[in-house]
Amino acid sequence: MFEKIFFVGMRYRVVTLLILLLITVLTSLGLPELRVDTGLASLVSGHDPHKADYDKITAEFGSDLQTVIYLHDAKLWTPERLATLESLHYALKELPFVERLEDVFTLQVIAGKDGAVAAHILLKEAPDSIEAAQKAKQEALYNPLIKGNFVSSDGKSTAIILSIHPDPHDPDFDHHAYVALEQLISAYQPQFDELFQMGAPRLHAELKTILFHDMRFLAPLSASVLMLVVVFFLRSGTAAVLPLITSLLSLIWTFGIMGWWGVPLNILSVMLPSLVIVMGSTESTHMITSYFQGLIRHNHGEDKAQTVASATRYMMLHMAVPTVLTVATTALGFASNILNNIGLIQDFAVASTLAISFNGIITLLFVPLILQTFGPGFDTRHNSQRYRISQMFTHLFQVIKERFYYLFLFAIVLLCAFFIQQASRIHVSNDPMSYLQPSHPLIKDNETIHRHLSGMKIFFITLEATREKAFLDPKYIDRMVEIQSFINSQGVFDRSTSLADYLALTNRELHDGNPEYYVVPRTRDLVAQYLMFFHRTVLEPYVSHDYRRANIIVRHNISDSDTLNRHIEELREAAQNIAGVDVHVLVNGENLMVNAATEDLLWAQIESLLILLLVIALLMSIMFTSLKGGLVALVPNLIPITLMFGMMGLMDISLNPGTVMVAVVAIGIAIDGTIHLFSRYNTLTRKASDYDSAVLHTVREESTPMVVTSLALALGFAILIFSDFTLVAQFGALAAATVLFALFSNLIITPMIMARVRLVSLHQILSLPLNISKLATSPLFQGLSHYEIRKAILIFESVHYHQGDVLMKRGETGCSMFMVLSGEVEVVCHTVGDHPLTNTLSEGSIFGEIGYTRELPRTVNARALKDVEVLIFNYRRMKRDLQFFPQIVAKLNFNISRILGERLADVVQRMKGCGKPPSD
Amino acid sequence: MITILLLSAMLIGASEVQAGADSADWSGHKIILTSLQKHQYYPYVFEQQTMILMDQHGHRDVRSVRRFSRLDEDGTARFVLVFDYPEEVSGVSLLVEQQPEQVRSSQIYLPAFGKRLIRSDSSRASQYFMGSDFSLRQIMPEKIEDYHYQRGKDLSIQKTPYFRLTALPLNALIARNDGYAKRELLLRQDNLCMVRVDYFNHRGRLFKRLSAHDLQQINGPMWRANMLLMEDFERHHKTLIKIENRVFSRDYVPRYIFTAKWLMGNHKITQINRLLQQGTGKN
Repeated sequence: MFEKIFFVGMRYRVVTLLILLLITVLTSLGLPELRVDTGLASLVSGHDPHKADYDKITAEFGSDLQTVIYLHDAKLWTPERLATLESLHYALKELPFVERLEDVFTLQVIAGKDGAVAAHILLKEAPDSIEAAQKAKQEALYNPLIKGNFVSSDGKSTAIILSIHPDPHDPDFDHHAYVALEQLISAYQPQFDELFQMGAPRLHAELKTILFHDMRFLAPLSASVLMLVVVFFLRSGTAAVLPLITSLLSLIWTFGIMGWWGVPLNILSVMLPSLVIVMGSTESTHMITSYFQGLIRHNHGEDKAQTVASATRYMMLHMAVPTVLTVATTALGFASNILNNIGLIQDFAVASTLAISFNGIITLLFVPLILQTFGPGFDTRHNSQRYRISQMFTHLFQVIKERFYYLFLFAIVLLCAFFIQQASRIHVSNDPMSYLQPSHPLIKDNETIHRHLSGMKIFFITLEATREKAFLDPKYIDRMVEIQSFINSQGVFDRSTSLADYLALTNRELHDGNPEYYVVPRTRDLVAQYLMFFHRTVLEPYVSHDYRRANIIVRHNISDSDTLNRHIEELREAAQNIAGVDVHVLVNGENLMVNAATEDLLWAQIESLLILLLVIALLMSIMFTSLKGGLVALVPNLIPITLMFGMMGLMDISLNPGTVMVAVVAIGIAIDGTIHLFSRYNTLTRKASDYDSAVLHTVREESTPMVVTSLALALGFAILIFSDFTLVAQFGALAAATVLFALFSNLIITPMIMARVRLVSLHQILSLPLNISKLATSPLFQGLSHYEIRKAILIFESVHYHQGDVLMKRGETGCSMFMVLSGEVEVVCHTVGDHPLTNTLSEGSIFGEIGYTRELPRTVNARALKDVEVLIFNYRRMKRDLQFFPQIVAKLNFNISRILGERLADVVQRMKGCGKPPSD
Repeated sequence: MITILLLSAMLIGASEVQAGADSADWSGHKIILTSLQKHQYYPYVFEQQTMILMDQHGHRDVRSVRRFSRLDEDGTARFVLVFDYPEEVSGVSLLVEQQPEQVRSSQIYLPAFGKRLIRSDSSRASQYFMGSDFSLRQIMPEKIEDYHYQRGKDLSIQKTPYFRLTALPLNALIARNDGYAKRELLLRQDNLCMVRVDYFNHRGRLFKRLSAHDLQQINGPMWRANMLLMEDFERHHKTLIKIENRVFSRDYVPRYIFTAKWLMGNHKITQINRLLQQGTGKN
């Protein structure tokens, strides 16, 4: 069944090619539907308990997502500059998406002097004299709600704050809004020292620009690096080109399906082309390496077609199952991120799982198709490079194993302990601003704003009282004041504003600006009467229409999720304590939810890792028909992950939506190496009498493709360091390092473990091409099920003899017994005079059983009448395998004992009759 | 210089003048002037109003207000607004005086603040007052000679013909004090009743609209609106003033009401109710 599936690409080349092309055309129709999502919503956990409250709060008090038009000018408060600013104000107001605009032309001020009070808009229009402009400046700087929020302390910078209403029918709204704003302000830029926009449209537009730039830049770079690595190590143009074709097809399929399904491209998708090119190439490289091995083993001389066909068949026989398994585990690594509640990661998990799976399918169909059609008929590679790599790792492994085994183990344990300790320092971050490099203009502009004005990040502290009109009562308003004092004492947030500030300001101004009166008025009536100075829209962000809910607006510029989450948690607790039992406090904001998603990131990481490890252990247990084998196979994969987490702690790299995926992706990749090694080891142990030599051979044969693929992977990942996204660059650096850790672990630690376990692959058991029914009649297999017989055959050494080969020679010493698995063996016995007695043994027959008990000279000759496959049993190996397969070996031992016992009884019987010694 | 004062409440109250066939040639100035001249002007008006403030979410704040206005023989216009509801603002008053020489003063009385009047900066007439969408300018008498009234193309809405006028401030200072660049007025041709005023900012953008509803003919030729709606399109906010009771009587607006003493007396609604029950000038 397996063969039928795996050999489709070889056997039905035209049909396969047509099907591949048809799917490519069909999926490409979905490409125009593909959309890009760089919005913040995808960073918020779908399970965030504050989301419903957030929607309610923003509906009532307005959005916390604001766009700032920042301008700086040394001569800001002059009629000319203010006239230009007014012109900009009106031009911005004209933009259809601007819902609300706050600046010096809309802000309400209240000022009292000599028993008179003036409550008015700071600047109804641009002043016509320098005196009027300076008066407005003084009024602005006098007002504590404007100074620092809208106008810098030196009066040279100001902000126009826009609330933007996105067009729900425009999927590219942010980009359009950014462009419209940019076009508008660019006309005004020459007239001010500094003028720029900052906010969600710009952030999204910049992210999108970087996304496309990265995709255009990183994918070709990855492809070039891959080609260079493959050509350098394998000396094969085919090996370099094939992965590029499979990657291209995989990406078309993936993006097309994403288009149909509505899964958007996001900032993590930047990695997709590079990932597919690099990771997809590993399977192709393994397959092509195997193809070249096939060329050597099945060389049909001049018949190139036959040679190519044999080599392709050899490749598929040896590589199909490992390829399916490695693709499955890698895809599983990516798929496990679907469990994450963060939309950004979920979408990327879907995209990457599709891409890796498609690449696996395409590789299994396309690579044999191409090799069978265009594959070289001889090994074109210069083998010295390959030989050197093999030699180097084999030697290294031998030296460590023989001389420094315990020291090495101790060093590994020590290293892991150190890195585990370092890993405890990892902090989690999910701030969108931290996705960009510190040198990015947007980050610089954000710093500029923060130097002069309060941070543009906002969150709300909403107090909900059970009593109607509670927030007209000074007792309740005092609690807000206390919460604001606590915020100040925390020392991390820039500023908080509430109804209390407006009331205190009004109180001060109605007392001729006496600062002693900058306090909340003491009676409910006075509070209500003071509030009549303000238009309802001024109070709207701070208090509900029924005065049951009040809102404190907090501005900050914290980009570190850890710091923010810690202080928010502290604030939540303190605010609730201050507010009392009759007031419910909510601390909410989109940037809080985005940062709070870090907890989800962390748990999702743990969950994904555990599930992945469990599934891989299960998969490996099934694959190698041993639970112990499944668990053992995980050990070399846990070491690189430990080192990776340790490195994150050591280098202060945060766990973010990019780095959170490294562990699962790295396990998915690292397990590939383990699967390849175990598969090869299985094959080789069947052909070798000594496990240690099988291990050495495994390292020798697998080191080259593993080094090549790991280097290609590491370099491919390292390319991502050039991304303008910090999280992508960090992902690339960590993944590259982890792949190298995994290579080291797989080539040094996996062989050490392999030598201490004996595994049999399920695929080998099921595909064993022997007449098991006939073998089951053998006395050696009595009491064993067909499955156990198959497994027993695979446990022990099997040797192939050609017709005429001598299996055993009289007089030679030997310590093994034989069982014929296929073919016929002629046994010649010289016991009666000089007339030889011949016997023809077929499947299931055993001979040489005396040698099993003790090393004795053989008394018979044995020769292959046809090509023969024999199974060899010897005591030492049986003794060793008893610990790995106790049930089967015990049964076999029981059967051997019975055979030997019967033989002994037979000999004793015969000795009684003729006094001859026993023979083999 | 002829000064004709037009109280805001009378903005939509004009004499029942059937514009004749010759009105086709009337200038904008003549239309507004005729409207005012024909208007049966009552110098003493008392109103009991309900002021409803509506935000963009449809939330409503309701206030009960008494309004006293009188035009004295010396040309001084005075009015007092006294808030009766909600309870917390009961007694809050606004006193505005405008003399013929343009000297205008406004004072606020906050009972909870203490027995004193707070002078309000009268130079900023365009500011919103008492949390409503009306500015002081929009509730104050207006000098029609400060504006140039351009007649636009007549309009017919649901078969009712309207005059359309554009009122432009004559100079920048007036425009600055008003807080808008121009107004578009819509007057019914059958009774010269002003039913809509659109306010445009300096960029020519419509930002506010005052409309009159529930028009009622009073005492023969004069019409009054029982509902005034001011819509602020920039702030997405509305103020509806509903006239619950209106009395045209000198007795209801005695001179002493427009004094600090009376305001600080903090007269409760019950007193006026009694007056109203005895009154004779109800609509």
